[in-house]
Amino acid sequence: MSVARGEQVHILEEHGEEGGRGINWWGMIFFITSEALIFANLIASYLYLEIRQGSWSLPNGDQLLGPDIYTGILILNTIILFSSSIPARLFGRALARGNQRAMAFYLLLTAILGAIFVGLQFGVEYTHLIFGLNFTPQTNIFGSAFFTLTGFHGLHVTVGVLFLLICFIRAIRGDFAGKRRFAIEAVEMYWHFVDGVWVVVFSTVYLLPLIIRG
Amino acid sequence: MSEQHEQDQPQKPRKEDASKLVQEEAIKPHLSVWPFTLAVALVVLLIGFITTQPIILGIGVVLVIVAVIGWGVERR
Repeated sequence: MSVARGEQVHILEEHGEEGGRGINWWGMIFFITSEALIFANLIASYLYLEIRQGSWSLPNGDQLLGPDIYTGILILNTIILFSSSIPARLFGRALARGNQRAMAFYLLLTAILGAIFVGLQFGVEYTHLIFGLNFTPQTNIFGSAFFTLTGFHGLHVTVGVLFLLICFIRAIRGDFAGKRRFAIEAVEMYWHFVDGVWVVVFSTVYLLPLIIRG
Repeated sequence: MSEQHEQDQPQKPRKEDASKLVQEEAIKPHLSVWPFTLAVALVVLLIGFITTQPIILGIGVVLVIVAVIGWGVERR
């Protein structure tokens, strides 16, 4: 893996050209894998508790997905999160091409889309569930599992937005013009991971009850 | 015989020898207090969010903003 000769290291260790991956890349992969395992445990717990309890309903008897505006907002939110992967890919490409301004723009665009997702999740969906339907983590085991799983994902999106903002500030300062630019690759990897996890979380929490109940 | 043959062959330059060497300091992350500060700020923010204490939440928000800006503008 890492080969240091005195005070010098191979640049390949950092940027992974010629087919090899640097130690930073592997570190990020291990980090994302550990995060994925936490999500896997939470999803397994959610499924176990819900199957044991046999209820996938809100206190008023409705399901999470129904013919109301909040379902529309949820679907819109999902589209926003998925579409944020496009500028995430583009800032990675801009980095590779050395276009610092485009990279900063796409970093900010991705952060804005992520912030909209978090705002709609916590500000609209949670507000509706907690204050409108009196569905809280204390309501029942479904409430506990639901808020833990979706809140954990929302926390990851929040951290991703902060990560993007830090990279944006650094990008407009020109910090990624030199050799130290793995942060951009790392934030792209992290953001795609957060997007990918939402596919599983959304399917488990929102779509599965519809399939089970027919 | 075989060993002699190998010794006669000119050694090919190893792939890693051909790669560009850079100073370790040029690519190694700097020591920084800001990642730790941001982690603490997020904990405060979450405590404020979960306990619905607006003062703690406000302190958390301020700390997060300070940590993000501090980390971003840190001299490298």
